Amino acid sequence: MLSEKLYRALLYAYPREYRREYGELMVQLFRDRMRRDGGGLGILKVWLETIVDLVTSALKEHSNRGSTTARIWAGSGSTSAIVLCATMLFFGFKILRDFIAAPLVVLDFGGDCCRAPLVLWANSNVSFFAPFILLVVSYPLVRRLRHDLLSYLWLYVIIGGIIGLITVLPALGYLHSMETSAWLTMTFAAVHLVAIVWLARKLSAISFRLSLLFIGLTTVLDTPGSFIPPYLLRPDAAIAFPWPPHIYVTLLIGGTLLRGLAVWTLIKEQTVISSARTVLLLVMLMGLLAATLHVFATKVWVYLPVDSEWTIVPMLIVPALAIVATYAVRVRGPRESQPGLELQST
Amino acid sequence: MTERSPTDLLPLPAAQFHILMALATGDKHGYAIMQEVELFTDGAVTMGPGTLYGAVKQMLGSGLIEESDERPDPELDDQRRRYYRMTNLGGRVLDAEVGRMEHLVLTAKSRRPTSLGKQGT
Repeated sequence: MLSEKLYRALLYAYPREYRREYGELMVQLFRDRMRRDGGGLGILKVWLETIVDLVTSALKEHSNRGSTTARIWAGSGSTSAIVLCATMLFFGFKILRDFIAAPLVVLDFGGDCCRAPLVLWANSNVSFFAPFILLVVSYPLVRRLRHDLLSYLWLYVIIGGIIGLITVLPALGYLHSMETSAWLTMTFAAVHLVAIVWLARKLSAISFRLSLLFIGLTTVLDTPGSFIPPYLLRPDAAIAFPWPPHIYVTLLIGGTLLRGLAVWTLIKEQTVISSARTVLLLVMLMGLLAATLHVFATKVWVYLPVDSEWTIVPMLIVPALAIVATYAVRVRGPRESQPGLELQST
Repeated sequence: MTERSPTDLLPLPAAQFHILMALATGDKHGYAIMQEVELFTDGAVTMGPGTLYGAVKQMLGSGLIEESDERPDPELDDQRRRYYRMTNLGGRVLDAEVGRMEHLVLTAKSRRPTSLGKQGT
């Protein structure tokens, strides 16, 4: 029976111990229910009720196991859960789309001088590319160490990144349309902002709310500039921009500052665990360092060619440091959780 | 070991309250509990597998129910089913919860007579 097999697969949403103890009994109950009510259109009703039951009870079980995020979600209803998911999805979307896929646009539209993968990476915004690597590499570790807010955010950012990659496909030449990609990006950014403001309103932790708003504003500021960094950093790229370059630069700097503020407020608020705070702080510092080196190397210091070591070295150093930082956290081990992030009861 | 006071476990979550009510008439397995709850709530509450066994797990942990070895008729029954019965503590907690609810209802009636059937002027 297909429904039963599907339900059995969905049981992986529950903690392992719970699944082992009650999984078969739950399948049996589902089977009984299907046998009684699953005829005709009844199957839709049973499935609808089962999905709602599964989401709420799985969150509750994870919550009982000590997951801060699940506790917040289970206590605040599905709306907040959806908004939090959406928020982080778009966050990841921005990261991967703009700072990994965008350099490939250069490959498509640029000359022959910058086809080497390392150069393409260096042409991207190193300050954000490195954190993405950190996110991917450290996710399994963070997940293992703690079942708290950050471990879930890690995952959603990564998933969002994959979505971001898909939306950039038009710009990569599959539809030969930069415009399509630009519109997709703007649409996602708008939805992102709405989602993030919605979530921020639900949060009682003021600094966390501020940090989310900063992230939302960062996205909006970044959006018009997201196609630009590769071109700005390449003097030989003969691309016509609708606005003067300094406007894009201003937007990017503003976005970077807001991103820094977002991370800083998170750290200050102590809404994240100590070890994760350390990682965030390191990421921010490394990102700022790399971005500074990158900008100086390519824009201030006599327009070094894009394959210069000044542009490549930061790109190599930052992910390496990020990985080291992550494993340093592992060595030290987790500290006591400080679940300062709380949602208002109503 | 000191036994827990029923009032320590109040107020009961709705799912646990419903399960205790279902078990008040005898030992039952999961599906029978679900059917019984549907019956006495006139179909308003259908407990899904996650909600039901999540509550069962909590109730086993707090001693409100226990697994039962007795089966109505082993020949007719699926041996893989687990039966549950209400414990002594579970019975007292159910009584205490019902008392708490009665008190709440009386208090509500005294405070909001117009919304509970007594039309004011």
